[in-house]
Amino acid sequence: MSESGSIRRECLRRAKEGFPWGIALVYLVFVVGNAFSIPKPQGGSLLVVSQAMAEGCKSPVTAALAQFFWSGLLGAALNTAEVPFLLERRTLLWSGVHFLATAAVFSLAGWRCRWFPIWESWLCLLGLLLLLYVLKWSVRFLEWQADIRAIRKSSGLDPAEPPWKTLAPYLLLAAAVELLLPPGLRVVDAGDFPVLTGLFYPFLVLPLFCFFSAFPLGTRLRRRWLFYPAACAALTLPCVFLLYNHTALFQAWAAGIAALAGGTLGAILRKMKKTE
Amino acid sequence: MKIDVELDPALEELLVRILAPGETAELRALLGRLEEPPKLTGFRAGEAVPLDAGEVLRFYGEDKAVRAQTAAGEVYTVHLRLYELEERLDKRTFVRVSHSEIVNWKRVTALDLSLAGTIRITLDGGAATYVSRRYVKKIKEVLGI
Repeated sequence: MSESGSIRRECLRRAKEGFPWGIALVYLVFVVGNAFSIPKPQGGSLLVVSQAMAEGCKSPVTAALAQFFWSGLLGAALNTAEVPFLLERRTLLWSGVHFLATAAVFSLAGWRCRWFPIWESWLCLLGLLLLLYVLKWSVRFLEWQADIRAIRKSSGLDPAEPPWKTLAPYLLLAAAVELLLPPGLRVVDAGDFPVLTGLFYPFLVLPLFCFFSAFPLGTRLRRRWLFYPAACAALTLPCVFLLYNHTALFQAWAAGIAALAGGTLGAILRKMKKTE
Repeated sequence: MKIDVELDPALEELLVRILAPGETAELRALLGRLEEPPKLTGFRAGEAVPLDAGEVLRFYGEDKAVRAQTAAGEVYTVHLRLYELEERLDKRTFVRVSHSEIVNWKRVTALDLSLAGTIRITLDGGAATYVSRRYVKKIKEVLGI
């Protein structure tokens, strides 16, 4: 069978598999969301469509069936996200096309099922979707890089790689986490006490991410890894001024210092290995 | 010279053990023949040319035929399928890098990964080709990684 034929078949197989998962996931989000919402919605905890949709549709069965179709379609789209990686060429391009298609399905589903009470929540969830794609791509790229390094080493080939190429996936990952995650968390955060954006992200996710992502760079690059802590610090600034205010500027320091610590540890380990 | 063939299903690859009374010219000639890369026949413009496998950079499928590109930049047609070449040639030197290509790994000078995820191999003399990501696992196995 030709490559395009087998890819089409794989895409169809994954879409069929993803359809029921999408339905289950969306219904689960509603049931869990309703269980924890105060005050309880009119339809009780088992209301599986948004209040606006339940009111908009004449029959609750019609509303549930419409959501059944759209959430299934969303599940099918999400479950095929791995397919572009099976392609030999233009993987990045097809990943981008897949993201746009999934974003379109997500937006249409959200509009038809009235999932987003305000347009900002739609935008933030799209940001989270983009973050997932960037994370997936970066992780794949780092795996490929590790494979190539191992093959080079075993074949006695020149291991030298331009520093920007080593840095690129890490910078992409840092940009995705620091620019897309805070707005995404803001959507699901509580209005009165924003635990996710006020505590969880700046004091846990940000420093841990910066530390652990800088560590491998310290082991691989000589002095150029020092660029990464500066980039980590700079990348916090847009969200500091757009989502928080100047009092959150400590995030830039937290990110920079954590990345510096991770990179330094990596550099020390590299030197220790060399002296051995 | 006596030839004694012993079949042992427990062996993973061919093992040749030579018993000789001393280091004779016959022994040296035999060792030389065993160690030299297998000879292949390449065809170009109706002419058959013996090909030294060590001089071939890569074998690749093109227009339903198998071609051999040498370090001198010449391209010959080989009347063998890629899987037959894989069986005949030294597996640690001639590595399958994609569905339609076998590369002489001793002639690889660089291996690069592009940001788009494409793996490019540069061979002696600057010739370049691409590795299928599906074959990376197999390449690692062949190289003992």
